Amino acid sequence: MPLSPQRDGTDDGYEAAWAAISEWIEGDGSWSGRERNLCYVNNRDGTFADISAASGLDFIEDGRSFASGDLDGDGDLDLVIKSRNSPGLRIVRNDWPASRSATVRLRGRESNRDGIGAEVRVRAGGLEIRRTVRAGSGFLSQHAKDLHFGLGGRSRAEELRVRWPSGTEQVFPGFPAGKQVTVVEGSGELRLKELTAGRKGGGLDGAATDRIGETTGERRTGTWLVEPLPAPAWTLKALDGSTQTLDQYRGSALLLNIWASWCPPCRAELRDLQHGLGRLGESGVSVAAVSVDEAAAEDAVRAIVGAEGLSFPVLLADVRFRAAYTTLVRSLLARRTELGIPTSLLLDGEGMIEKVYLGRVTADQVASDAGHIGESAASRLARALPFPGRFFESRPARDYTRLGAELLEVGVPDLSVPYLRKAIQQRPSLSSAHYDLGTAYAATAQLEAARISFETAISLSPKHAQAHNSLGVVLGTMGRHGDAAERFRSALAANPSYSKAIANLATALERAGNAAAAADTLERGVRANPRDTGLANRLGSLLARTGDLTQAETWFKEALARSGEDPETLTNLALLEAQRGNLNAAKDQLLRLIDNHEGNAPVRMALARVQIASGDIEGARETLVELVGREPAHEPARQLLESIGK
Amino acid sequence: MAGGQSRAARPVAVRPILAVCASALLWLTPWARAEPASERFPLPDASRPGRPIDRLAEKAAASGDSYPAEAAAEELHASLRSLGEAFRSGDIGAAAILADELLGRPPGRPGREPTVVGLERWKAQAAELPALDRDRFLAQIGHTVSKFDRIRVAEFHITEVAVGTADSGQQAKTQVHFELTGPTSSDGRAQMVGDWSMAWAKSGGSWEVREWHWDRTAWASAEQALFADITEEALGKNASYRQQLLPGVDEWRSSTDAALGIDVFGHHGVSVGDVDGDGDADLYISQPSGLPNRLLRNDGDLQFTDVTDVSGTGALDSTSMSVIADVDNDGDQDLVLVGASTPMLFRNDGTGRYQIAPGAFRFAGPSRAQLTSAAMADYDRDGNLDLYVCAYRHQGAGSAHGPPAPYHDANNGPANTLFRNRGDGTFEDVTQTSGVDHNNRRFSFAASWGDFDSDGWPDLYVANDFGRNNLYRNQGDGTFSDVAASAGVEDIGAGMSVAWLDHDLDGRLDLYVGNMWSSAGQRITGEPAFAPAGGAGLLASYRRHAKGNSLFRGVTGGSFEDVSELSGTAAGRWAWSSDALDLNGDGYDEIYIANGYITNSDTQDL
Repeated sequence: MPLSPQRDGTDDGYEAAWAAISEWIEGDGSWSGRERNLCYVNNRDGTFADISAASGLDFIEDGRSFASGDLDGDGDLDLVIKSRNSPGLRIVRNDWPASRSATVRLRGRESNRDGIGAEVRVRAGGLEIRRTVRAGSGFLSQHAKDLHFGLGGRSRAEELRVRWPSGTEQVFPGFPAGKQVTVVEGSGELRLKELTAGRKGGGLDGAATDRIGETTGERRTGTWLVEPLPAPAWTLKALDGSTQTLDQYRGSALLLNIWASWCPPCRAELRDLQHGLGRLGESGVSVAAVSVDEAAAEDAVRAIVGAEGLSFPVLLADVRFRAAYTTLVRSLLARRTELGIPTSLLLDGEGMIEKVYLGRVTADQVASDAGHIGESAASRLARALPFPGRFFESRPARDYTRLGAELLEVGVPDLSVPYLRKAIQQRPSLSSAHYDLGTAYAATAQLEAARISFETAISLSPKHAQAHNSLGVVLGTMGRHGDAAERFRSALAANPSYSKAIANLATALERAGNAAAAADTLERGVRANPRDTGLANRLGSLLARTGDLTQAETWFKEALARSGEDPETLTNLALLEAQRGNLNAAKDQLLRLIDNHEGNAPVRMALARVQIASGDIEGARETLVELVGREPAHEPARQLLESIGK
Repeated sequence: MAGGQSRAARPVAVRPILAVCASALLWLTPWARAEPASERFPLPDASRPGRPIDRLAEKAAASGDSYPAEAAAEELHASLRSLGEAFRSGDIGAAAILADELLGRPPGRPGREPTVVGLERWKAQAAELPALDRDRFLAQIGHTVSKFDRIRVAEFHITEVAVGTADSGQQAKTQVHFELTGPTSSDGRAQMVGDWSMAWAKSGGSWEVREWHWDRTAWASAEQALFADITEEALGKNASYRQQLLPGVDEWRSSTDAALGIDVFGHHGVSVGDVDGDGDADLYISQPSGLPNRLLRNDGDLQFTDVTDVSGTGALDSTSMSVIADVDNDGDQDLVLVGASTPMLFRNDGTGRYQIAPGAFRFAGPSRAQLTSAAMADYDRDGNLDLYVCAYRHQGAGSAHGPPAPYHDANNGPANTLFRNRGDGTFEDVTQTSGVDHNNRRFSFAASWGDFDSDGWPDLYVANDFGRNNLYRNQGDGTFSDVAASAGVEDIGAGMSVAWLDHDLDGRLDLYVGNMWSSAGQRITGEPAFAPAGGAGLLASYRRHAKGNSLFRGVTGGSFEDVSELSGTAAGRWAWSSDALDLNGDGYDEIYIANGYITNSDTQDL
C-alpha cells in the first residue's frame, strides 16, 4: 500500500489520447490546417465539378461558416465568410457573368411575419425551382431570407407559387427577370422593384486567396488578468545566501521577474529595472528576480548581478519553483504557453497576480501599471477586455480545477491546494476537485483533511473508484485496516478490475492479521486479470512472508511469465533462494540484476540483506554506501548501514 | 521517426481516427516554438515538467507504429512535394523522383463538360494508347499544363497506398488526387484537378516514379473573375474590422486571460438579415467570449458601418451563432444569440436598437450543455417562430461524461432542446413532450428545418459528430419521430452541417451533410492492420468517418438515396459549413464548403 496515494488518472488510453490532443491544439499544433475551401458547380445532370480555384473561392484559412445574401441588390448572391484564423472575415462580391435572376421576399400575415418555412416554387422555361425560407442552415450561419431564383437566361418566370406555413397557397402568373418580388400573404398583388446593376471589377487574385495569418501588428504590453489569482508560494535561496519567501513581499506590489544568465534580453531588462528602481519604489513596487539557471551556473548569475550592479534581490529557482511557474504560465492565457524568458508577473500586496508580461517589460510600464492596482472590479475588467461590451448571461471564470490538478501532477501537491480550494468554492459539487484536493492533502501527510476530501468526493460521486481507493489508503495509513478494507471493496464494486484496489485490499487484510483472506483476494485478482503483472508478484511476496515458499515461487514465476524481466519479481525470486539458504545463488542473481538495472534501489537493499545474512558485512557496507551515494535520502539504507556499523 | 523534424513528424494519420490509434501520436512534433511577438527564450526541456502529451508520445513511441504502409505513404508524400516543386518551377522533368525508365499515360482527348457561363472546362480520361516513354510522356504533360501561365499551387493527396517487396526492393502503388492551380496567360484563374495512379520503386533509399497514369483530369478556367474580395473597401473604415474581425482567434488567445474563455476552435458564425428595416442585408458577426459581437449595417453601395454600440448588441458572452428574425411578429427583426449555455433573445424596438429579454428561454431542467447552433421554424404552425438548439458537449471540468464514446457512435453527449414560442415573448422547453428527445444524447453541431415529405409540416435534420444523425419527422400533432434510419440518412460520421436543397430540380428535397474527408483516414482504415475489435460493421463505420460529405437525393416515398460519390461532392476535406446556393443564376444550386480545422505555427501539417 503506497503511503501517499498517487493521483490515479484513468488507465484508459482513449481518454488519455483526448487529453493529449486537446493540449496539442490548445498550444501550437496544426491539425488538418491549410485546407482550401471548395466550390462545386452544378453540372445540371446530377453531378458537380470542382471549380474551387477557378472561382477564386479556394481560401486557405480555417473556414467555419458562411452566409449568403444579395448584399448589393444586383440580384446575385454574395458571400460573407467567417474563419477561425486570420482573415477572420471576408466579404466576397459575386461578379459571375451570369444570367438574370429575381428575388422573392415574403411577408406573412397569418403565418409568421418573415414567412420562415414558406415554400416558393418558380417555373421558368423548363425549370421548376423550389426554395424555402429558412433561419439556420449550414454551420453557424443564417442566409438572407429573401429567396434567390436564377432564371437561367430566361427573361420571365411563368409561374410563382407560395405555400405559407399557415397552409394558405397562392399562385401568381409570373414576373419578369431582374426584379425584386414581394409577396404578402393573402394579397393577390405582387410588388415588383427593379434590381440594380451591380459593380464589377477588382477580382480575386491568388495572393488574396492565400492571405493567411495576418495580424493587426498591434501588440499590447502584457495582459491584465480578468480575475487575479494567487501566485504559487516559494522559498528560495538568494544570491547573498539568505533565504526568502514570497510571503515576505506581502504588503506592497511586487514585480516577479523570471530570467536566466544565458538570455541577452533578460539582462537588458534587468538593467532597465535597476535604472528605474527609484520610480518603481515611488509607485510602491518591489522587484525580485528569479534566475532559472541550472545550479552549476550560479557563478554566471553572480557575474551578471555584479556587472549590472543589481541591488534588488536575485533568487535561484529550485525544482519546485520551475514546476509551479511553468504550470502556472501554461494556464494564464487562453493559448497554452510554455514558460519562456523573460517573463514577469505583477503581484499586488496580497500576492495576487494582476498582470503578466511575456517578454520584456520596462520599469516605466510597470510603474504605470502599478498605479491601476486596487481599482474597482469594473475598471479591472475594462482593462482586461480588448473592447468594450457587456456580459449578459455569463461571467469570465478561471479554471482552477485544471491548474490545481496540473500542479498536483508536476509534483508540488502543497502548492495545488489553494487553487483546488478555489475550484471547490466555485463549484462545491465538483467531485474531481475534492478528489484532487484529497490527493494533495494525502501527499503532504494531512491525513485527516485528506480523509474528509475523499469522503466528500465519494458522497458527490458514489462510484468514484479512485476516490474509494485513495480513502482506503488514507484510512490504512491511519491504522484503520478494517475501514480501509471496506473502501477497497467499494472501489472494486465500482471497478472490479482495478488492480491497485485489489492489491491494497490484500495489504489491508494482511495488516489486519488475515493473511489467508489477503492471499485469497490476490489469487482471485490474478486469475481475473490475466494481463496484470503486479498482483502475482504481490501474491508471491505474501506467501513468502507466510513461509509458503513453494507456492510463492509458483506465483513469482507466473508474474515473470506475464511481465518479462521485471526487476522487482526477480529480486523476490533471489530473496526466495536466500530464504531457502542458497545465499550465494541469491547474491549472484542480485548482482546480475544490478548490472541490468543499475539505478534500482530495492535490488541493492536486497543484496545488502543477503550479504549480511551470509556474514559478508564488508560487502553489505559497500553495497549500502554505494546506494546512499546514489540516493542520499534513502532512509532504510542509512539505517541498515548504521546498524551494521555498530 | 519519433520527434523527427521531417515531414514524418506531422500528425496526419491521427486526424480521422484520433481515438482509435493513439499510437499515431508518435508523430506529433515537439513543442519548441519561436515566439514571434517578443523575444522570449524557451527553457531547456530538461528543466520543465512534462505535459500529458509528452507522456503519451513517449508511450506511443514505445509501442511503435502498427501501420507499415502509412510509413511509406509519409515518404511518398514527401516525394510528391518535390514533384510539386517541379510543377511550380515549370520544368516537370527536373523532378528527381521521375525514373529514367518512367512509363506514362497522359490525359487522352478532352471531352466537353456541360456549359457553364463564365467558365471554360474540359475533362479527360487517360489516353488509351500504350504507355509512353519518359521523354514523350513528359512532352505531352508539358503540353497539357501549358495553358497555365505558371502553376502557383500544386497539392496532392494520397488516397490509396499498397506496398510490396520485389527482388529489387520495396515497391508501392498509389492513387493520388492532384490539384494544380495558377493564372492563365491572359490572367484568368485556372485549375487542373484529377487522379493519378502511380507505381513506385525504392532505389538507393529514395522512391522513384516508374509508372504515372493520368486517369482523370479536369480543367476549369475563368478568364473574367467570378468573385471579388471587397472586405477592405466594404469594412475598412471601421476600426473594429482591422482591430477585431480581421485577426483570428489565435491572436486573441495569445493576449487575453484564459479566464475570458476564448477557445481555439473558433466556432462563431455569421448571419445576414435586415436589422434596420431599410430593405438591405446587414451582417451580424458572432464572436468568442470577451469580444463583442459586431453588427454591421449595410449603407448601400457595399459600404458597411459598425453600429454595435448604438444598437446594444455588443454581447461579450461567447456566441456561436445568431438568428435574425421577427420573433414577436411586430414587424421588425429581433435577434437570438446562441450563447455557450443559453440562447438569448434581444428584441428590436423598431429602429435597430435592441434590448435583452431576460429569461426568454427556460430549460426544463438544469443544463450544463454547451450550445453550438440553432435553427428556427414554426413547427406547430401557430404563427410563432420556435427554436431548436443544438448542444455539443457537457461544460466544465470534471465532467462525469467523458469524451465521446464509442467513437463511431457516441451516445454520451448532452441533450438538444426544442423551444416552443408561447407568443408572449417566452419560449418553453418541449423537448420531452414533442418526441425530439429520442436519440438525443449526441454531439450535435448543426440542424436545419425542411419539409422533406412535402406534407406542409417542417421536419428537422440534425448533424451529429461521432455518430449517426437524426431526421425528426414532424407528425403534424406537435410531435416528432426519428426516421433517419428508415429514410436512409443516418449518415454515421463526423456530422458538421446541414443543408436542404433540390440539386436536380426534381421537386423533391435533397440533403447535403457536412462531414470529414481525410486521405490519411481512408488509407489507414483501408489497411489490413486496421481492424477494430467489433468486426466488419464497425470497420465500415470507421471508414465512413473519413469518407467525406454526403449528398442524399430525395426519392419518392419520403426516403433518400446516397449519391455522394456519384455526384462528386464528397471530398470536402475537414468540412465545417457545407451549403448549397445558386451562385451563377442558372437555377441550379452550387455547393460551397468552408473547411480546415486548425492551422498553426507548425507548418508541417498540410
